[in-house]
Amino acid sequence: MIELKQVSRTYKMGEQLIHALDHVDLAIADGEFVAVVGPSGSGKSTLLHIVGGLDTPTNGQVLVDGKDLSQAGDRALAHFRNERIGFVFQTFNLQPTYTALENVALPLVFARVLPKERRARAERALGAVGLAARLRHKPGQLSGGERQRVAIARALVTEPAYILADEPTGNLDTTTSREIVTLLDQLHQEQGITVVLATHDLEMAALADLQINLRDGSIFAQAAWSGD
Amino acid sequence: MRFADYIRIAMSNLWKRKLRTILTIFAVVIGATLIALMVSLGVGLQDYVTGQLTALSVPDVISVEPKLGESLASVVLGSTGFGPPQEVEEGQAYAYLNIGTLTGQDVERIQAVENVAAVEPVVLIMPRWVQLEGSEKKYQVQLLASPPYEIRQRKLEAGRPFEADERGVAVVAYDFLEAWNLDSPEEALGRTISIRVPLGFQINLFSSKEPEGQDYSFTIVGVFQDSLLSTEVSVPMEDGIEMARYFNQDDEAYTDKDMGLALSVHVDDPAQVDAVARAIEDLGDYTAETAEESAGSLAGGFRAIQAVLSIFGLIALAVASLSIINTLIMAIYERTQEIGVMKAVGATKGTIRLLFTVEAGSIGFWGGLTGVLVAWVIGQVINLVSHLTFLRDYKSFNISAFPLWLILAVIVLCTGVALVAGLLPASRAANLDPVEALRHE
Repeated sequence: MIELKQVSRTYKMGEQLIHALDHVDLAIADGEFVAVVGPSGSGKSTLLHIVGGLDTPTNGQVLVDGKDLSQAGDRALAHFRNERIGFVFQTFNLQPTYTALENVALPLVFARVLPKERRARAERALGAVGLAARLRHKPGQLSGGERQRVAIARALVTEPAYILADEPTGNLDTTTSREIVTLLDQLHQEQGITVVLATHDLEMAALADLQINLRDGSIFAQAAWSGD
Repeated sequence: MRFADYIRIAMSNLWKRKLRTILTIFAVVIGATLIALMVSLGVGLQDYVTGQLTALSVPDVISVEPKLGESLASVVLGSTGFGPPQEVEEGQAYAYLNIGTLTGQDVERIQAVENVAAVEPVVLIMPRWVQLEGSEKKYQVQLLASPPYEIRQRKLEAGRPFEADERGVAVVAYDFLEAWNLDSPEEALGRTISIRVPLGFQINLFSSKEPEGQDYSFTIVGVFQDSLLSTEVSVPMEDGIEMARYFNQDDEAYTDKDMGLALSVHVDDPAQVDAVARAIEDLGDYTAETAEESAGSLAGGFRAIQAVLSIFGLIALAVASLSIINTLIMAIYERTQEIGVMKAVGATKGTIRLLFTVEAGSIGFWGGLTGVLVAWVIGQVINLVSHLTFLRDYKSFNISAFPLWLILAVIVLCTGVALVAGLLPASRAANLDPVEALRHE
């Protein structure tokens, strides 16, 4: 369960104050697939960073599983990100010198998992995203869609409760984008992972159970899709 | 994060930027090599000289000399024609250096000090040569008249020391065996040597005329262990004094009237050596030095030389630490996004800090290790070359020596300096804002 209560996040850009998030109230239930939509600069990324414990709000409360992230210290946040959250980014953020397997195993290094088990779990995660045959490839040898699959495997490997995907299809063509979002939906369906997908692509957002519209740091619309 | 993973990731990060890492390590290597080599040269010399000194000296003997009335500088300057005129008394020995000699009175005063067992003069004789009977060859010789308490404590390769009442016997240096074509030290025992003592102090730099002299015969009863004093022949005190009297043409030499320049004081309790030395100095007219002190002052000198030479190494290491800081700050810029990802997937500030610290430490460790290796190789070359050239006859003397403590100390020092250099970059990396870092291209 993710709960945001009156969450604001302001940045200082020179003399100017920027309200990335402005008094946001939000609740995401476990097992939901939520799309956060809005144009760039609407605060989608900031929302994901704050939910994922990568950023802390200027004001307000962030409760994830009943724990208040706005009060947590560096170590607690790092452990939270490691155990509960899987991030997926627009630019994949893979280590170019690591193989797919090493990239996926990285979160397990911080979880103090032994090398042998790291390998086994990373292989399993790569299998789950359909890359069982690409373990030894480096990001440079993979297509954009494959790279994002590696990134999703990295997010999955710690068996998190939440996957936070920030414009995961922003650098991909339409077909591949659809495959990636379908994969996220599949993980949500099969493993019951709560997925929060930030996107400005309404077609992708349409796959989610719930849509949250952000504009200038505020939620102005929220719609549930009852269809499919 | 497990420590093995820190090492693994740090190594892989360093290896990714091979050239830069190698250049940075090279800077550490220069400092480490300088320090290791300089200290190793000092250690080699010190080991050898103190080793020899302890082999030669006996722990319960104190060397006593008269306290110089004038400052040594003015005495030396006066004797060489530069200082103020130095007054000389008629009949004063060693007038040239204007140093006072000791007398029987001095012996009595020192004898009266508690725990002093015996006081003997240090007899100075300058023979022309030593010759083994049956051999034509003559060799230079360092002749010492040794009191029984000294010769008893010296280490012998073969034979025995001489007793207090013996005359006409000698213990000779090990190196004479080869000169005399003797295959074993035992072969020397019982052979006769003769020592030519000239009449008076001769400096025949330009004259080929052999000065008048007298031969003294001795039977070899012992052979010293191999040592630095490679041309030593020791004879009993009475023989030495007899030769010195002939040499000086003075029947009163080494009598109560003139006990020479220095005295050898035997202490009955080895634990009291320092106390006795201080008590003798407290008499006011003497300087006293124990064997340990003379070895110690020598060691102190070596340490000073080492320190001065090592300063260059330390300066090089300081420059290397700047290079390490530079390398790591560059690495942070390059790896900002990577640091962001690491934080996103669960790295704490402490993890990132330790990771960069380990990278810094590794640069220092490998630099130190390589530096010691390079210094060791240079040291071996120096030893080899010196044994082929100017140290041909001193094969046991290694100028450069690498005890384990030196190897470890240099590696620890380099790693430590690198760790300190890593503090600033590591905390910069740790404090990067993950959101900013992820956005970094």
